[in-house]
Amino acid sequence: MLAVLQGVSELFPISSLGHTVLIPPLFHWNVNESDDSFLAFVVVLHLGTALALLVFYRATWLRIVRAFFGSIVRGRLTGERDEKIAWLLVVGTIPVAILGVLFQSSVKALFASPIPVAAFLMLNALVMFAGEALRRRQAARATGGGKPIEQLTWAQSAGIGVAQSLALLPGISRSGSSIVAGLLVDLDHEDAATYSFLLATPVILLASVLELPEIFKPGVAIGPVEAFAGCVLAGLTAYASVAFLTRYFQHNDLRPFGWYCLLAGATALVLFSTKVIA
Amino acid sequence: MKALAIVLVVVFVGCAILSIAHPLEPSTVTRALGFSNDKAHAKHPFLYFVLAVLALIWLRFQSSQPAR
Repeated sequence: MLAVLQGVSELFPISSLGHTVLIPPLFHWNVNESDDSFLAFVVVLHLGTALALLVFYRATWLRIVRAFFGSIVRGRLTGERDEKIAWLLVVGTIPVAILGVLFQSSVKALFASPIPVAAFLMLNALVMFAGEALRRRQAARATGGGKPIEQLTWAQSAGIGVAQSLALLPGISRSGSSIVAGLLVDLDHEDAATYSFLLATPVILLASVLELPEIFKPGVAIGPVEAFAGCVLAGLTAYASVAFLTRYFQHNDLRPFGWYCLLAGATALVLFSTKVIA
Repeated sequence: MKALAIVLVVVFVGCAILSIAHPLEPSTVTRALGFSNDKAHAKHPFLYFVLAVLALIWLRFQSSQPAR
């Protein structure tokens, strides 16, 4: 169940971290979230999600990586599309990498309890509604459609990276905040979602690879079969999610996810603050 | 800009060394930066190393630009 939850909620703009905090007490799952075994299992699930993103965008990543190393070897930028996207992704990844490494554990320690998470989930909804409203206003003023990803400026890509790092707050969605930031710099929904998923891939992959030694810590009770099954299941659901979302954002927007987050956040807030659920 | 790239390389290499040696007393700041001696930091040295490499690449891009 956790693997499926992670695979879906990591890529849908509904906050996987928020759901990992809210769902177990809501359904009375016997999960200790500070337990080493649980944390190690989450690492495996993230690895599955990152691998699914890599496989889904494999052709794009191959071109991007080739263009990236080509530019380093040449020692200059040519302005070619894949090369520009490669460096935009590097620039966009820097803020979330720095803020994540420096502040993730302290932010998580401060806010990873149900009531703040429920409040942040509602804030996540408001961010999506506000982003959609601003985007519609922009679209009404503009004559053409959104601009392509490669026309982003370095500052705009860094801005999307900063928006992505809001997801350090449990309840704020990584993809939701970065898609909203993409919309605000004039990408259309499909490109904003694609850029958000491309931007998330190295972050999730590196974070999970760097935390992989957690699995081998003494006292961690995860067998290789459980780990493999969790990784594969999270990967399969993440692949299905990204396949669905890329098609969904061709013609639809973030508002249904906003309504879901608002409803889920409000329900959780009432249940936890009235101590209906401990 | 070249000077800024060089400064960044030096700063990030210094931070990487500090986070590997992690010699400082634990506090909010030293823990966040990965310099505290209360535990080994795995992600911090990696981050600083990658940032130093990126600063080096930036320096290379600057150096190969034609002088104006």
